[in-house]
This record gives sequence, C-alpha cells and structure tokens, in this order.
Amino acid sequence: MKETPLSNCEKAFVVQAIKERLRLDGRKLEEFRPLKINFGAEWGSAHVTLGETRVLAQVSCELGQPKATRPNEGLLYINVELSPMAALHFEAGRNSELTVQINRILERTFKDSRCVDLESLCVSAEDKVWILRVDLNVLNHEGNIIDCASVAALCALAHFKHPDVTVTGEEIKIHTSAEKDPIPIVLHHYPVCVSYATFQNGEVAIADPTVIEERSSEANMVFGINSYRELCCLNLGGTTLTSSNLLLQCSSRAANRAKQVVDQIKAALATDAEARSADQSVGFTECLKMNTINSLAQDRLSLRLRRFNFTLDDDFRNMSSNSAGAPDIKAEGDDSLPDATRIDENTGLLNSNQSNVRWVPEDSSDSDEDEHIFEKGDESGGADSDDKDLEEELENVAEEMAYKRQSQPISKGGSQQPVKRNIDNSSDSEEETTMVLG
Amino acid sequence: MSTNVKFRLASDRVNTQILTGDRIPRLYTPGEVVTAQQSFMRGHGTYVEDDDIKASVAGVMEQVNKLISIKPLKSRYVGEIGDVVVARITEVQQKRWKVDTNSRLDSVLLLSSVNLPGGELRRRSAEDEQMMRKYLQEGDLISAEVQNIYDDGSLSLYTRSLKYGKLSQGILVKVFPSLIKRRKTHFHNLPCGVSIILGNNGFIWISPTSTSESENDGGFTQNLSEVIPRADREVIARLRNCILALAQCKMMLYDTSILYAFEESIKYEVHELLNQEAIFDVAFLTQHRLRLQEI
Amino acid sequence: MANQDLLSDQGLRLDGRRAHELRRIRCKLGVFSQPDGSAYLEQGNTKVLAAVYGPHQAPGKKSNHSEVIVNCQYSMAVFSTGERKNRPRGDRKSQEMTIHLQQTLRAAIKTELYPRSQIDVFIEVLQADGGNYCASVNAATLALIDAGICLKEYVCACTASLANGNVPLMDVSHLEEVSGGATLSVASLPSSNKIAFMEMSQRFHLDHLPKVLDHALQGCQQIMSILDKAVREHLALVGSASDWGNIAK
Repeated sequence: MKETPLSNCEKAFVVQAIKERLRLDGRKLEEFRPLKINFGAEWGSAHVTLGETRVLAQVSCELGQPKATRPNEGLLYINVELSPMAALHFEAGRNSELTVQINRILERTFKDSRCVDLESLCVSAEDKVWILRVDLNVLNHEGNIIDCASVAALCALAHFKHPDVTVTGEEIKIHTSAEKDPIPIVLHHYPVCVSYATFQNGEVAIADPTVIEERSSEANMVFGINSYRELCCLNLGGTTLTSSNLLLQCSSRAANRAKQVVDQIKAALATDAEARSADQSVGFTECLKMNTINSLAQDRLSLRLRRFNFTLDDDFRNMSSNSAGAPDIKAEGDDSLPDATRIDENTGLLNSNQSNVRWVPEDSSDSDEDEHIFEKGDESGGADSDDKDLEEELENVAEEMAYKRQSQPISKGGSQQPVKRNIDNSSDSEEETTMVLG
Repeated sequence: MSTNVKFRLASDRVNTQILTGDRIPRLYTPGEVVTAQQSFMRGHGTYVEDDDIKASVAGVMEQVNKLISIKPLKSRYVGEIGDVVVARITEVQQKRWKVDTNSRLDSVLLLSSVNLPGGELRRRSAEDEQMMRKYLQEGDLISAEVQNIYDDGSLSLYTRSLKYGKLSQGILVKVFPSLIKRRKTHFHNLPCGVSIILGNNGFIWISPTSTSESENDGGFTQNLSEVIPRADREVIARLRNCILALAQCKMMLYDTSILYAFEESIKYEVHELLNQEAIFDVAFLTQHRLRLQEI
Repeated sequence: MANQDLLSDQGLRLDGRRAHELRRIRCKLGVFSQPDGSAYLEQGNTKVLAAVYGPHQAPGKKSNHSEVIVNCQYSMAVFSTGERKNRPRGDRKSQEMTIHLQQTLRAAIKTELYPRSQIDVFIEVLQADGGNYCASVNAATLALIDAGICLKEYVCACTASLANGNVPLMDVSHLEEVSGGATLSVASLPSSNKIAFMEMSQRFHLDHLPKVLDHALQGCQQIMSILDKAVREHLALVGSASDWGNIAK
C-alpha cells in the first residue's frame, strides 16, 4: 500500500505552527516525548516506547566462524524490521529506503563506534566466535523510529547475557544457565541516537519529531552520541539546508539528551536486576499489567476556557450586573439586552470532574424563592462522574436555570433576575463552580 | 586473416582545441550573481535569492530589454512553436499518440492534427480511432512541427502538411539539440542526392531523395520495397559520419556546414571517417571554409 | 596508536601533503555522447564517472506533479578496491550511498522547475581510494551542469578527519580513513555556506566537531573553485567551436 500523501493544508499548518514556536502535541521545540523502557523475561529483550512509537528488541546469539580479516572478534548484526504492523505503508520483507537508512545509522552507531567489545565474544580464534544478532521490530510508527530503535538496541544489548562455554581441546561445551551463570556483554560506551527535524530554511530545529512533523520538515538530523559527549554517528540530509551554527547547537543539546537517556537506561537496568534478584516476576506481562487501562483513571483533565461565551435561555437577560437591585429597572427598560452568562475570563478554568458543582446565590436572603442550592456532587457521588462531559454539565445547568426561571412568581412584575456565573476554582483539591443569582 | 587494430593512448588523443576562436563572451556558472539590480526580470536559467538574480545553469547571458536569461550550452530539447522535429512514436492512446521528441516530457500527436489517408478534411470517427495503429504504431519515426506548448512544458505536434508524416527509408542520427542551428528551412535536398531533415530536437533524418514526388496519401505510406542502390547508401553513410564528426567537434549543424564537411571528406574512405584524425581534419577544414565565407 | 603516524613531525601526511591540502583534482565534462550530461573526476587516486539522463518523463506511478524525481545509482566497479568486490551494487553500503547522493543532489537541483519529470544520475567508481562519496558528489555536480539542469549552485563535498587527536586533516585518503580516526563527510553549497548533507561515523568527541567541520567546509570552497574553473574551460571550448551558435551573437 502506498503511503497516504500529506495534504498541503496539514503541512502548511505544521509549518506555520512551528513558525509560532508551537507544536501539534503541545511540546516545546526541544522537548522530547516520554521514554519508557521495559525488559522481557528473557535476557536481551527490551520494549521501548517513545511517545506512541514502540520498538521491540531481541538479542540472540550463536556460535559461528569469524571473518577471515578479524579472526579473534565476534560479529554483531543489527536488523530493523518495518512491518505493516507499524504502519500500513511498510511492506514486509522489502528493503525500503527507510529501512536501509535506519539499519545503516544503527550499524554506524553500534558497530563502527566499537561500542560492543567484540574481542570478548571470541571463543577460539579463527574458529568459533559468538555471533550476536539484534532484531528490532517496530511495533508502532509514530515518528522518530531511529531514536526509539537505538535505545531499544542499546537496552537489549546491555541486558543480554550469552551462555558460558568451556573449551576442552576441540570440543566446545555450551553450558545452560542452570549449570553456569550466563555472561553479560561488555559495552565500552553507551551510544544512543537523537533526532531533530529542521524547518524554516534550516533555522529552527525541533527535537523528536512525530510522523507529521517528519513529513513536513525540510531536513533531518540524527546524532549518534554517547554519554561522554562523543559523536559516534552523524547523519544530516533532506531537501533543504542547515547552517553549521544550528548543527553545532543541536549537537550539544543532543549530547545532554543522550546523557539523560543513558541514565534512564541504566536506572531501568538496575530496577530490572533488583526485581530479578528479589525473585519478583519480570517480563512484558508484568509491564503490561502495570500500565492497566489508565486513560480514565488519569489525573484530572483540565480544560482551560478562554473568552468563553455561554448563552443560556432567551428569557435570561441583563445578566451583566452583579447587584440585586439595579437590574430590575434595567430589565424593564430594555428587553433587547444581550443575554449572556459569563464565565470569568481571568479564571475561566473548568474542571471536568466537578463532583460538587454548586449554585450559590450570592445574596440569598434577598429573594426567598432563589434560595436553591444545587449540589450536584452529592447526587453523583465521587469519581464515577469523572468523565462527565463538560458540555453535558453546562446543559444541565441551563435546564435547571430555565426551570428555576419558570418557578419564579410572576407577581414579581416580570422582573428578570440577573445571573452571574462565577467560577473560581483555582485550587486543586476543592473545585466549586459557583453560580450567583442576583 | 589479419586485421588492423589501432590502439590509442589517452595522451595521443586529438586535441580539438585548435578549433577554438578567440572571442569568448562572459560566462556564468550556477550560483553566480548575474545582477544585483532590482529593475531586471528573471528569465530561464536564473533565479532570485536575496534580491540578486543568480544563474542556475552554466552558459551565457541573453538579454531582451529587461529580461535576463542564461542559456546553457547543452540541455534537453526545449520546444518552440513552429520547430521542425523528428520524433518516434512510443505509445498509441485514445485519440492521440505519445511521441518521444527528446524533450523533458513526452509530446503528443493528436489524431485531429494528422492528415488522414484520403486527404479530405473530415470529422474523426470512431473508426479512425480504431485504425490509429494502422497509421502509426509504436516505433515509427515521423517528422512533424510543434503546434502548441502546454502549461507543463509538453509539446503538441502536428503533421497536417505534405512535408511532414511518416518516414520510410533512411537513417536517424542523434546529436545534442543545441548543435542544430535554427534556420528558415530544416528540409534540405543536398546535391549529392540525399535528403536531410534537421530536427530542432537533435534528431537528424538522412534519406535518399525520392524521385517520384508522392501522391496525396497523407504521408502514411512507407515505401520499403524500393531498393536503394549501393552508391546512394554509401553517400548516406558518409553523410552520417560527417554529421557525427561535426557533432563531436561541437560544431553547429546546418546545410552549409554539412555540405562543406561532406565535400572535405571525399578524400577519405567512408570508414576512415571514424578515425579521430580524419574527424578532426574534416571539422577543421569545414570550419576554415565557413570562416573564410564569413569574411 | 596508528593515529599518531598520520602526521609526521614536519607536518607532512602519509602521501606528502600538508594537513590542509586537497588531493589533486582533475576533471572533464562531456565525456560521453549518449547521456545528456556526463563527467569524469579524479580526486587523488579516487576515480569516478558520472552520467546524467534527463530530465525526462517520469514513469506514471512515480510521477510527481510538483517536483522532479531524482534517481541515483551508485555502483563500484568490481576492480575498484584492493580486494575484488563480489557485487558492484545492491549491498547495504551502496544502497545507503545511493540514498545519500539522492538527498544531496535534490538539495542542489531546482526540483520545482521540472514537474512530472525524472533525472537519472549514474555513478560508477572506477577506483576507490577514500572519499568516494565526495568524489561522487563532485562528479555528479559536473554532470548535472553539463546536462544543463538548473542548480541552485555547485554542490561540493569534502571529507575531514582528525590526526594526532587535535590536527584536522582535509580530504582524507583511504589509508588515512582506515588507520585514522573518525571521518566526516560534508556536502555543502559553498557560496551560500549551507550544508546539504553530512555524515560521519566512529567515535569522535563533540568538542572537535566545529574545527573539523570548518575544515571540511573550507575544502568544499576550494573544490568549488576548482570545479568552476573546469566548467568555464569546458564552456569556452565547446562554445567557441560552435561559434556560440544559437546562443549569443
């Protein structure tokens, strides 16, 4: 299947947004998406998510012949697989341009920089060495595969242990893990890739681009960099050009990022080792359990409303005034005043989990029939109503208001009650939506 | 059996530099600023960056009033309306033929812009559409004229004149389009008994001059049965080699230059014209005669 | 370490150059008659042929309505390296090289001028002695100019490396490539000082990057002036043979 072309308006939107220093997912220009690392039950299997991009890495090993030119070194193969599982336009088993590029960048990052101590993988020179294979499966493509894949490869390599062997004469015995503890691989340094996409004729670089950003960008920069600020691989290319200044800036930022990522990897490795030594169950099933459906249980969803104009019923007019007395006259004098219930512009923050929305007349003693306090929170009781739609909420409010309006005695001379909604809920814990009826 | 084999060292290569004149106009190369003045308009081969007009090809400047363009010495054929081209049919489609004219995009020859057999002007019927492959099929060579240039730069051709149409017996020589000099006429009957069509697109067609001026058949018949005598064939071969010799020395091709080259080549056997020395000699003598004429 | 030997005490390199000297570049345009443009380039012992066909009609399914498709093929002759190669093209490294060349050339070609068309660039490395990518880019530039294709400007590529841990070397040869440290290849548009492509491998401390990059860019500048001279010579030769024919009067 062909990749769906990116429409011009989408592209223009992204480019324009970046011009205004905004990104579609609300990140800052040099902010990365959260990185999560999980290890499988096997040695050398890692699952890494970067935002929504997921890569699964598995290291495997076998005994084989070394290359004639380097008889006492083991071999390392890296293979990235882009299957249709990640995105529909990837074809299985075909070497697309992207696959070649990712493969080569990873090869350069890990192989050419000599990050793995290949000599320690030698069993007997010119005869038998360990051949390591890193298979990377991209499970979901949401941009920046290369960063995610490099972290996954590094995690898997750092996690991997190959079985111990004893050589007696011609014979080589491979011990199972029960007989002898498997041996971890020696890594000289920890390189990871950090990508940037450039915009505006190569003047602006954004970190960790998503798919849409990748596709609307002009050029891509990939730095393979380790925690000692050493460059292992660098790749820059695209259709437009970057000034060397930006490149140097990005490279130093990339170095900082690489340090963070490597620290995170080390921490994750440590946690995994701890869990294993404490005989806790480890593996992907565990990490999947850990991430139980958390979309609803997530922290409060805050919606910030700006310049929000909320219209209630037609009958409600003259709601601009807060005082009880004044609007009576106004209302009689002018029927055509615009009706609006306002949410305070400055503090127009509505929380979706308003367990206790209350309508509090500001001066309730003034008119006896207005002494209603709706306590919605009491009925709904707790977090069940968390997901209640804000719109629904407001609709309810409107209905109740309308109802109240009808129940008002007509004897009052048709005077309309000015209503002002005051919603002040700056505090985290206790949010009250207050409605003031004058 | 013994044959002569010639090996040539790179250092022994014939130096064609002697052909050079001493008048060299100002040359521009890509990225070079042509002018920084704002009052000029940019034409082909230039682009604007930071208020400067810069060249995007290597060549010489051409200025028409305020319009500045840079012409490369060599490029794909860029068609102009009225150009004579020799072209090859590549595809038969509905109501049109796709034609390769050595330009950037394929050209089209519409069914409505050919003369159908029978000669009279009539509406093209569905029958004609079905017969299209009978008239012209893939691989056929035609001579035609550029009728129109579409927005994207592709050309539309027509053959509604008796001089155009399908080509039958002869040989095709391809040279770079820039070597064909634009003249009033591109059809020549040379005194040596050979006709030549110098297509503006760099395709040159050499054929024996037909004796019987063909009847009105719309130019779709190929007379493949007529036997061309050996002498004519040799002349054609010689002419071909002369044209290639001139082209190799980057000399302009038009009737006079080809005729002079032909005459200068008489002292060589046809096959000798493939030698570097002969090529250079012919080209040199031709150029000499042309320059004499100029003065 | 072998790195130490790259530069002698007198400041001479293995092949007798100084640190900031390019290898000898010799080039020729218009070497073939069949393609629309062609060039041959020698950079030291690295020898490259480039041929350009097009712009011509792109095949239907690939055709792009807004810009030209640049199609490259990089191949190394089986006899180009010390050890005979099995395959001239198709392995990962040459596929990668193809992609890199494509990216670089697209940055230089004014792609928007040729909608629905395709430009084919064929590169054949006859002898590989380091800096293959650079020689290929430089040869391709010449071939594109010869074909009369609109470019923003020359795109030139140069390598740079580091000797003795702190002296940047320009235009690295094969011997220096394998025995020395990291090699940085940069393709740039020298007159506007923009970088079209950049690539490097092996470990290399970030602090050295500005210095080495600067050297590579300087190399590009020098290469551009060499290429420019060659193009002008070629133009003068061809143009005056035809008495500037159709072009100027």
